[in-house]
Amino acid sequence: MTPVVRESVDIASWAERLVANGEDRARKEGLRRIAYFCSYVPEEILSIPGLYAYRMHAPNTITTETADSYLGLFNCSYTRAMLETILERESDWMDGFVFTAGCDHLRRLYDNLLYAANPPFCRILGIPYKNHSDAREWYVEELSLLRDGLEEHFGLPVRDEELRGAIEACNENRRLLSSLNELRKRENPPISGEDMQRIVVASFSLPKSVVNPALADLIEQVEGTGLDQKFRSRVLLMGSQLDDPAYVRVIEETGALVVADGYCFGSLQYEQAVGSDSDPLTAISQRYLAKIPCPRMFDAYPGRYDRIVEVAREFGVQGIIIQTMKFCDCWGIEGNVFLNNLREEGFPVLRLEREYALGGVGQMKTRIQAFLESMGC
Amino acid sequence: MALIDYVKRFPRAIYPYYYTRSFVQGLRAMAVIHYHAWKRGEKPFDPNMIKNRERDLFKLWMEGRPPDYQVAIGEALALSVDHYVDIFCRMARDPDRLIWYEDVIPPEIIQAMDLIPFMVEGIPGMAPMVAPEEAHHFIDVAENAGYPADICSMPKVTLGMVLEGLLPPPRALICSNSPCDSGMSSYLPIQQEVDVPVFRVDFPWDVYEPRAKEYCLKEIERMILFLEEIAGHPLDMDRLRDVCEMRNRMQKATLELWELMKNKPSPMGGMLHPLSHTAYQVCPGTAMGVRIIEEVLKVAKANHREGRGLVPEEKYRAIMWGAFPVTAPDLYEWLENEYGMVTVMVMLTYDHHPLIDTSSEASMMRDLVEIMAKPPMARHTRGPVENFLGDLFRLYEDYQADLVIMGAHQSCKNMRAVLRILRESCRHRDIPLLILDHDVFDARVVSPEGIKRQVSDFMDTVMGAD
Repeated sequence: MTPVVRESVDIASWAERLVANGEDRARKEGLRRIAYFCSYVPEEILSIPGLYAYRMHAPNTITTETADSYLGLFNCSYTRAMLETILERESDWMDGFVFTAGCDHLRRLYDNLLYAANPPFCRILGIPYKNHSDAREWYVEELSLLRDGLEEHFGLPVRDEELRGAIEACNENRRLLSSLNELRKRENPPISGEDMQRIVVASFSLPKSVVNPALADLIEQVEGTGLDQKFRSRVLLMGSQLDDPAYVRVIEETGALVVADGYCFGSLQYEQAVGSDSDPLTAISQRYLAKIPCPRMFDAYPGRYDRIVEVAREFGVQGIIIQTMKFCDCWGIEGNVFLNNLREEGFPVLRLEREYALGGVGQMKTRIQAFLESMGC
Repeated sequence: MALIDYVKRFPRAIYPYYYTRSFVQGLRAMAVIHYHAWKRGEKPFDPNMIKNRERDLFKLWMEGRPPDYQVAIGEALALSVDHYVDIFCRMARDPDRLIWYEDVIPPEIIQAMDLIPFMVEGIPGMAPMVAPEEAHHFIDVAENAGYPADICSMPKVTLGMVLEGLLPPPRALICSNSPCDSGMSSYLPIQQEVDVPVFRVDFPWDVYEPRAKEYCLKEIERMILFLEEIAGHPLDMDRLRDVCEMRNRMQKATLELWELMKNKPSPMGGMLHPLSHTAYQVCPGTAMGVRIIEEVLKVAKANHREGRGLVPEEKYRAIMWGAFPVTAPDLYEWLENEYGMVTVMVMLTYDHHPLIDTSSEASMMRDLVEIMAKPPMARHTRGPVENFLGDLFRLYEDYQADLVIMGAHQSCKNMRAVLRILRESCRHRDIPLLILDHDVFDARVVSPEGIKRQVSDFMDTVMGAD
């Protein structure tokens, strides 16, 4: 398969320039960078003036020898890669870390990071597993504690007006990403799945003040263009945390265009805006607990399933690929339930297990090609 | 004089007595089940899921023990058999009242509502001990159905049995986010398989936070509403009070037992101590549960009165932390015989709570919810790592222990992720630590012999044992 050649915009270069320039500008403006690991950490609170949110990713971390001595070899390779990356870097590489008690691996990443490095600012949010009024109230209290911690540590005001400003910026970012995503419904979309992944990763690595204008400009540039390459089929990619565009590229090199996704470093992160409740923390809590949830949330499987089916139909996919990170209990188990249910619904489904760092490309391509052939593509 | 008092006079008769008793109870269960199934025109449920091998446990844990200990083991096991027979008979008569509950959810409330509580992991939990090939079969069933090989083998055995339709069908299901993701997530396919209403209890990540009490209370109130709808009547608080007061009797006996075990030599140990604690999981707040704990306490008191330890010469006192290797059910006995090592406290047994204050409905609910939010293991695996270590180091001092054995179950992502912290913390405190690699339910990963070899190597090289 020949590589994708875009008519108008080389997204890879666009993203690289944006990140380099954006980080440079953030440094010059004295913005502190706060890393987070889960889509249930509200970006809004980390995006107040003086700070910006950075969704942790490090797909080029191949070896995790140091991290393996802390976290076990049976902990997911994402958390091990994150710990390795953080421990390798200078202590001022990141100004703070915010975790959620999202899963066993993340919880223990938090414990081990505190133990090994004791970062000056390191917090964990106890996220409820449900979305009732008590859960939302609990989440508001957690956010209040986080806000207070940020104010105290960084000496920055985190009043309602700052939060409302951050909400507006994050909502705008979501709107822009959603608009871009909508273009993928087209028969010949202007961007590939790999492109979208690069754009999303850049969006969640930089201040919204940098990203939003760039996204608006990009949408204008790609509108009216289409991909040069022809693909054999359209697929939806769903599953565990995935931030590596190279993984999506491997899929697309087989001829399967990834037109839609269902994972948390993708559309699950940017769907649904924060509402306009008078109390910003309440509005944030409502959005984050009501958004399309990840498998750790209770009683949400039917909604999650219906959403995947709806997206698959809206985006005209012919098959679904479920990728799950090895040792991820939540997606490991739910991935199989999804597989069975989607097949019963008549969707062709392929299940792939992966590690955080890209590997086994040959095998992966063979399996995807066989999958495409089985669909008659 | 009870029959057992006569039997005690003839030690050789103890094992046959309990074997026969459980056999007769099994026949009773089969008769009741078949009768009611015939009446309803249905296929009878087969309670013989692990092929009666549970009686092998009587022999395993009684061998070489004094008569009083044998009787206590016999009572504990026989009462557990009685409990399951009772459950099966009630279920046969009234199948619509069977409620499945996850092992970390104390069932007092289900009991108080005259519903039939059935711990989902109970019988799967026995399989690796008595019928390992059955356990392996159920693990393979789950894996062949597409569930990952790396999830905890306990949910895999459970899921395998559910997928084969071996467990009695429930009317409803209660589960939670405790103690870990494997257990929690496995209830989605279980729910789909049995297709009944489910209530999931949301316990906060750090149940020790002061705010958590109120949150947990409201969750349990929601659970009660759910059960009331299933039961067709409200929770009878007087009945709940009876259950709580019986549980308090169990707890008093347990606390007394634990105090005795702080003595050197320890008057109790072996499998009897942790085994008796399963009463809290399957029949808390019942006369049966009280009797199990009190039988154990009787043995401990008698030993202590006579200045006698459980083993002839106590050389080492161990704390068993983490997941006990169920695949080596004779491990405690072997440690005692081989090294004079008594296990004085076990994580899965350490369910330390104050007594439930039954003076008012509010205090009763408050204290019961505390117990539900902090069962053994869950209270250690949830929250920050300090929750995992705090109890351990305090128990090490209180029980004058000589070493810690950390049952490092390979698929326990939660506990394996803190092994380095544990190791360095123990080193800092000069606590000898054995990290025992195993799989809790799958003997194919590490055999019982392999488990013992790890202990032997540690005892030789670190403890300098003969």
